[in-house]
Amino acid sequence: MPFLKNIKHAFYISLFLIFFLIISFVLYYQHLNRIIITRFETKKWEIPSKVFSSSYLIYPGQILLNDLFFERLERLGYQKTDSYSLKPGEYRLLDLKLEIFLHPIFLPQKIKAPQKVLIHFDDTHTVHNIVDPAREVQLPSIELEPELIALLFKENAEERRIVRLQDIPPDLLQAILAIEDERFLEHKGIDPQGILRALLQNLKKGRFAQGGSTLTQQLVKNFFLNQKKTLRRKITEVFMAFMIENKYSKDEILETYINEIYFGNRGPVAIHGVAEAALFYFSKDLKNLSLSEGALLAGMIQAPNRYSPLKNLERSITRRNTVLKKMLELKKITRNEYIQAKKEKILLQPSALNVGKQAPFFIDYVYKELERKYSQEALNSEGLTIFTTLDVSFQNAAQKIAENHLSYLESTEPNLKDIDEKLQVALLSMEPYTGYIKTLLGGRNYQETQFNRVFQAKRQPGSLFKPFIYTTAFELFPQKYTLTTRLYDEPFLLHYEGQTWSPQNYDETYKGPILLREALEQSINVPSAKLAWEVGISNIIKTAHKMGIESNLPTVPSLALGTAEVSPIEITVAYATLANEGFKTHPTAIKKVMDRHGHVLEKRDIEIKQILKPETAYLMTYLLQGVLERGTGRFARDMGFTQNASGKTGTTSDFNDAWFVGYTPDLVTTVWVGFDKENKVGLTGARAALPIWTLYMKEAHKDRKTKDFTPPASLIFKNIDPNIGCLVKSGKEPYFKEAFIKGTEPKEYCE
Amino acid sequence: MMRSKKIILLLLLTTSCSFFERKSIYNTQLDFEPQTQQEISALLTIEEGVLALSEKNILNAKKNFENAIVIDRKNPYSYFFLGVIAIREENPQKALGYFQRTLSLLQNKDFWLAQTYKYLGISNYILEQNKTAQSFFIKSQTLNSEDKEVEEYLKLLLDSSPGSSSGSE
Repeated sequence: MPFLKNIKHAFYISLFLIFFLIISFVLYYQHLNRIIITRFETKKWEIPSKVFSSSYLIYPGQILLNDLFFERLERLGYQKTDSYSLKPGEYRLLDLKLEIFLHPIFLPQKIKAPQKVLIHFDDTHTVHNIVDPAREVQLPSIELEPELIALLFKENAEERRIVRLQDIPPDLLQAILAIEDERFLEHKGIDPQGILRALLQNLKKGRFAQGGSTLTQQLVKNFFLNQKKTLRRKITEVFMAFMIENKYSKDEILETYINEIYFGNRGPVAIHGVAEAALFYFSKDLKNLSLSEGALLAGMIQAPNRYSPLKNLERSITRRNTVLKKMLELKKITRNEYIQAKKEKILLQPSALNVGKQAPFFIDYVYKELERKYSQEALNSEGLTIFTTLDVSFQNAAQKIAENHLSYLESTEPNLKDIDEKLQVALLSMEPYTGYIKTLLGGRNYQETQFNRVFQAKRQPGSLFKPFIYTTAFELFPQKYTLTTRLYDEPFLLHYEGQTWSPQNYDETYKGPILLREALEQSINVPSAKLAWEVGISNIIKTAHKMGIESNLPTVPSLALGTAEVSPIEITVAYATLANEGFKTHPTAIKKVMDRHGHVLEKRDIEIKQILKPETAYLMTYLLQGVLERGTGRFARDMGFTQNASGKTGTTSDFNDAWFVGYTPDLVTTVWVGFDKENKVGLTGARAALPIWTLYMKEAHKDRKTKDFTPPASLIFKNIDPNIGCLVKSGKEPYFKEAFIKGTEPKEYCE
Repeated sequence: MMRSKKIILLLLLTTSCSFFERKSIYNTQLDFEPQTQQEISALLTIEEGVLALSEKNILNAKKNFENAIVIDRKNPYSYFFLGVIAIREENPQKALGYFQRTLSLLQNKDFWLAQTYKYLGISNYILEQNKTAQSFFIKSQTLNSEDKEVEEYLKLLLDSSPGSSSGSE
């Protein structure tokens, strides 16, 4: 019968449909289950690596209480107060005493507790001693924490510090639950009561005023799904919320949630998790958050940008008060606690609000160094902590000074006005006794070109090369060459390998017999070239290589006048060898790398090696001091630079390149100025590069007293006639105090 | 390589025994007369480093010695102890640099000069520069004839020199 037959067909079709739905459901369930397990149980968050500057060591003998020091404190978020009771991050100045409550230092998985110290100064603002008032002991030194200078990340980077549930202060947890999901411990993923309440509220207000999502649903939305508001997504969200509640404990869900919550942005990087938020907004560890601060953070969850205290503190405080009221209603806090927390003033201490890329050339260099050992994946998402050698104050100073001087040259020098290319600069500053790179300026504007002229640009050094000649002379022939050796500044013709070469002086005049000192102080070409030929070009090449020049140097006489191309880093390392008394240090930008668990992956040590005799190094240093006192670098003194220093100008014969390299016992700095293409800068090293060097070194030495270069015990000083080189009896003029290795001093007195 | 391993083992054995010697690098006062607060700070920092080193907290020890160099680069002991650490980390080339620097800064402090010569000897020996090593050991022995370790090393050098009856490895 057809009717029965139709019912039978309908039955089978329905059975088939039900069967199909069940299979689809099972497959979908498995698919979602896989997603949940993979994400939940591996809990793999991509955490950017953090790059820090050097910490700043404070010790007796430093000159502080100047603008350089206070700018440093300001950048680190320290605030001046007149209150007697300091909190971490505050300082008080009383006459010659600075009381400062240092910030805690946050390392991965470890926090160095905050410490209050008293720094006593003398009347020259020099640190006299440092005292821990709590223990009543003197401290040899203290460290100002390093500054966060860069984050290394992939796209859509998120910053977080993972914490366990038991590490969350109870108040903070209660605040979050009170405002976001008061029935979290009771429901099974969705909260019908909450949904109904939200629906009524929204109908009442005629707009979306409240959400009914549970904490679990929020987690699903942020952790697994996108932000699209579709029915399908909503259904999936509910479904997944049930699955998660079924699979995992409330504690596990809550722990994942508190590490996932979004709390705004630091520049291009999102801040996730309560621990990172506490650090970001208050520079505090979680456990030190007050009830008020915890409530403020909890209040941000619903709309982090709207309720950000950095964007609108008043609105943020109003929201905090809403959270506190809710906690009171739910009896999570007492009335007294509520009143106290409401009264508490919010003290924001945001850490590095917008870490773009400070010192971009330096960061690039650090990244390239790290890439030799770590994968890009590790660098960009494994949450490494990298401590570098950079001094942010010095770096900022260098950037500003270089830009100002180059702009000044471009606007005032006639030969630069018509050139359509921008004048460029390279500056490298290094501690000669550690090799630590304190400042690196690879060019004028990183946004325009990332070409790092410190490492990648090979340029002729010009007269900057001459000291290698004199170093070779003193090192290999100490009995033959002294600072008073007579050289001859007169035309000469050199024949070698079938060619001839006749070096010229810049002004094409000749002085005749002169002392070795004058030849280098005044950077005279002819006697330097002659000396080079005498000591041997291949010997000079060996010396230069030993000191740090890595480029190929051709064995030609013109090498003496700096015709072979080298990079600023090579020059810096070589001159640092002189500054460090004949010991070469290996330049380094990285001190230490830690993984996200706090394990030290590597520590880069100071590396030194004796290259020259200390006598050679000192004679060269003493000689090059004359360049700044009387020679081509004396403009530095006119500009007010008073530290003991040695240096050398460098100008290529075609005026393509202008250099100055100079050093004090504390710092060696090289400056190069020129064009990337074939345009001529048309200026000497003294005019183009020396002013940048001088202003930078003045800034970098603000916190230190003038130090002397120490002569080795095998050196003696004698008064000699500066023009002739013979000994001068005491009381006679003119005289100059010259240095000699014992036994090499002149024996005869001037008549 | 076999010889290097032997030396390092010997070194580790002897230096671990040095705790029990009357005078060792860990229990001998640093012979340095600070003139300024800065120099005092550097010395105190080095002493903290020596303590950390004796407790085998190498990272902390290094940090203190490196900080001491920043505070006062003229104090030879920072370099000395960094050299000791470098030897323990089996990096004689690095150690050599540190001890050379120590030598350039140390001013006639017999015990410490003797120790520096000894470690220069050890560094050179590990680098298989036997003649140089021997000359340093002899200098060390001249200043401090009671150092048993130096005697051992000189014996080793004698045994391994060409023409010795024990032959080479």
